[in-house]
Amino acid sequence: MELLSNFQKREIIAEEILTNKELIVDYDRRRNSNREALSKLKKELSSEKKVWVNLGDLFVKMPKQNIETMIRKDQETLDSEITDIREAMKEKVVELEKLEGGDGSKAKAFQLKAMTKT
Amino acid sequence: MASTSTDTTGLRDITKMERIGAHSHIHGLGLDDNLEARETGQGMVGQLKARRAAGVMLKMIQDGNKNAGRAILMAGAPGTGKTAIAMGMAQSLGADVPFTMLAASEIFSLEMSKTEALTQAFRRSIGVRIKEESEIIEGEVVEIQIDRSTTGLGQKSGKLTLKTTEMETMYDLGAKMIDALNKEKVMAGDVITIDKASGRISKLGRSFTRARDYDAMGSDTKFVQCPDGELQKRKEVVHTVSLHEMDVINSRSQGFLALFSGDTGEIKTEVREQINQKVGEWREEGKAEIVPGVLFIDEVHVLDIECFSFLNRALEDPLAPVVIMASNRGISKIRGTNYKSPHGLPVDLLDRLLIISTTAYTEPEIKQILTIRCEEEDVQMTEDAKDILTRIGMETSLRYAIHLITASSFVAKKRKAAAVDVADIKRVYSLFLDEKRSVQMLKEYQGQYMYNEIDMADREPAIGNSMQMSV
Repeated sequence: MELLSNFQKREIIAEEILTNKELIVDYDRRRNSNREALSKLKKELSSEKKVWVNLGDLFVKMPKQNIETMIRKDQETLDSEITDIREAMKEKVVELEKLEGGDGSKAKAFQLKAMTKT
Repeated sequence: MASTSTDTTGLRDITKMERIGAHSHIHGLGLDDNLEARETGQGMVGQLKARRAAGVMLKMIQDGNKNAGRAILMAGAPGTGKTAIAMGMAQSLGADVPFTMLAASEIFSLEMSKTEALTQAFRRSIGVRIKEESEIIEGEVVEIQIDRSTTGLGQKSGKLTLKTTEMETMYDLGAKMIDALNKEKVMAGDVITIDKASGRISKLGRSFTRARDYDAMGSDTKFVQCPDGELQKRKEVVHTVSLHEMDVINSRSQGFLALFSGDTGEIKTEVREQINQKVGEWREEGKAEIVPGVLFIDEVHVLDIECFSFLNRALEDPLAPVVIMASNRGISKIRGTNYKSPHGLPVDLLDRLLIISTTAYTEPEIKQILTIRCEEEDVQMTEDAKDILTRIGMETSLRYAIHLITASSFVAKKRKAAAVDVADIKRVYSLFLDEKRSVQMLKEYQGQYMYNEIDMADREPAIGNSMQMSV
């Protein structure tokens, strides 16, 4: 029974890690399309004052300034979301390593603060 | 192209051929989950108490912070598995725990003082784990489009389309990036990595899907898979460096070359103190982790009284590894003095040690060890030959019997037999004398040897009853 519940826990954590990986890919996709939009706004649509924006199901014509601010805010949110998910992933990997019988030290090393280039 | 890459891997395997050493059959301590020693396991046989004690030490080492400055002495007659247990511990700890093996006589050298050599050995056994991270953009190039103005004077501008298995996007390129791409000669179908911080571009290879684009390609084209996941990845690498390496790198300009050449010379105390301080700061900030390792000193009775005093002090340092010493001396003189002491170590050092004693092997254990060595050295032996070899091992010494294995295999090959038989063993036994018979011969023919003066009173006894010639 203990073996089964250990197995169950490992599968749950592995599932969560994989979902997080997919989430990061999705967020990165959105980040990239935001970035492309921003550069288009700067280069090709520099003359216009109001621009068409596709928000999910709707098309809205909005002043360029507002759109830029919106997209930039979205980028920041996405960046911080991705960082949070990455931290959560690292903790889950440490848990997974402990469940698999290791002592967690190998995965924990990735939670060190990084050395910055001096 | 594919065939050339398999050839090079084949070459690499041949050059990686390992030599069979005296302890190459040992892969661990052979303990089960409760730290009980199995009769045979991972190459180790018998010696249950010592192995169990070693297992407890292993747990202490792995627990990290509770073991600074612990020292163990493994004491036992020659050929009782002291070095074997140390090798077993090294294998069980794994590759990321620093394990330094020293014979005490390595301390003595003309280039370095004894204390410097010991300090370097100590600092080589402590590792520091650090992590480097960088944001990179990694993907396969779908197309590169560069617009140059017709006058040739305007700014170059361009677009780069990168993709992974899950997404594709387009980047606007500035002049510097266009120059970098041109320098690396990046083409459509290459898999590249762009470091966001430095803007450096590196080519990882060509994508497999574009392998059939051209009929003829350079011989050194590498093919890699199209990267998966997100385009903007964070790459994190964990390094483990030893304190000694950090000392050497900081001790002089181009210090890292000294690491490879080996002539590190004496390192100033100021450099070491700076390193200790730096590592302490990093630890506080959470940037580094100390990985205490193991220092194994074999034949520790060879060290002299000055080294022992140094060891007493060094073991009390907060940044000290676990020290395992091995000695096969009984009550003998401490080098550098005229006093006799157990194991050849001064009593104040003995006070700081936990002592594990190893006992001589029993007959079935010797048989088991010889079987394992036969497998390791790839020698077939008949059961009778094994029995007689076991008898020889009991009467003479385990090492002598192990050495006979390869020798007798050659004799067997000469008479074109597949397995070694009793006759081969007898032949090799008569050809190569063991220590007791050699001493016997010396006594009988003493008049015929040069400079022969056997003086019975002066020899130092080792543990065990037989009189050993001290080396």
